[in-house]
Amino acid sequence: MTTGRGVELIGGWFGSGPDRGIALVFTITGIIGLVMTLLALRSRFYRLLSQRYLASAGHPPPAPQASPAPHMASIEAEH
Amino acid sequence: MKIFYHLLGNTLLASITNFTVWFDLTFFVYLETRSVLATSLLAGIYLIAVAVSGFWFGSLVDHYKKKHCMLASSVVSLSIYSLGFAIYLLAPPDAFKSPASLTLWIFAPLLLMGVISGNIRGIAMPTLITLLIPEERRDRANGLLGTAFGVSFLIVSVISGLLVGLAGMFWILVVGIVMTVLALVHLWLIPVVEQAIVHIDGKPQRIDIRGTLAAISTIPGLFALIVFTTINNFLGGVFMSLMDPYGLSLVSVEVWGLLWGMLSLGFIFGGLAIARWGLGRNPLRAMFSANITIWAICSVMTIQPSIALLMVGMFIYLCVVPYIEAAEQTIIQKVVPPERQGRVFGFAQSMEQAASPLTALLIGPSPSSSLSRS
Repeated sequence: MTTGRGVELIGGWFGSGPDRGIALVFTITGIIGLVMTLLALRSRFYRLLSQRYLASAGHPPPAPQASPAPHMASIEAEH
Repeated sequence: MKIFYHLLGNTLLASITNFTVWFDLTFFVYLETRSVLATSLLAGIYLIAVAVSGFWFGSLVDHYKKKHCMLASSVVSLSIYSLGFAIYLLAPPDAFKSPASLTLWIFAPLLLMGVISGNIRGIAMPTLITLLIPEERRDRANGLLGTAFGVSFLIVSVISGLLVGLAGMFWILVVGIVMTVLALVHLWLIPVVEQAIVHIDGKPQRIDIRGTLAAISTIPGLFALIVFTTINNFLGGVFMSLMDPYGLSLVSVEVWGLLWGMLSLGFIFGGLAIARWGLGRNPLRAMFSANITIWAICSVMTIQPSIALLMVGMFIYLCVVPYIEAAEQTIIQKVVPPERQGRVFGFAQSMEQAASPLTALLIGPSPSSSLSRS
């Protein structure tokens, strides 16, 4: 970020030169990460996994599996 | 709980030992060959081996008793370090000088395998937390586990430069062997009650990718969680690889090294805060709050060329990072059936490592910058 339109646009305030270029990558990475996180937060997977976590009473300390849970049966069926 | 503390201490000892061998091996290779290519190659071998071994280690942890897996991990490390020691003693003194030396490329990858063998603990420990700790306290235990890894990293980054400078490879291997024996004996004496392993899916397979994917896909959102963490790690890797050049544009090498030493305490504070207060009712919420904090900080901390701004931002960043890992573990410990957790943790480890080569290169010792610091 030493020359060009980007420098004319924000260089006066953000600064210019190679170091400020790196700085800009941080800022852009941060914004991408933030947008991605907010999208994921609104997604189906967040809701489903949250519900699953809060709903399940949790797995009891692994006792010998007398009756496998339904989802385990479905895995076994695949084998 | 007391057993858990013993296991935690044992993990701390083993990971300090393994990290020390790894860091000092990299320094050693650089000092002998003066070739950055050789150390990069070593980092590449390490990365690929970690990503591939995650699947396999996960299967092992599910199919055998977890304590036995950890014992085996130490036995393998011990044998490899001893063999490496023998090679080091027998080789002529200038055998490691050339980057093309055959002895070097037997010696170095061999020792790396000893280090990687220690990664079984990273998979076995979260599954042991499931076994030993009641559900409502697991988030805190995961916080402590994160702290233990953070502490070992901090200790190693402080001592490894000193060790290789003052003692050389001979003493590093001696220390590695002695400390691995100590960890082995201590682990042997810890009584861990584990029920017989239920082989629900027949004979143990070496690398059970299908079974793992099946287990993950039965839980809605779990695969997405792992992908999400992977993308985050990747972005984090991009960002971390630029941290040194950016920091060095603001302050001198000495000041930068010192500041990083202090910043890494943030990681430990974060882990301790989780151990004290937990993650709340819904760890997924904690995880997302942590991610939002991290990215928000990242978007503003370089907005002006100020070292104070960067340091405050990075300190908060490092305090928050342990929440993400601990939350992921806590969720997997609850929603995945215990007999499959090893494979799911192994899979997550493989994915996250494979996607963040830059992270691995940065977290890995970088001799050019570290040596110029000292």
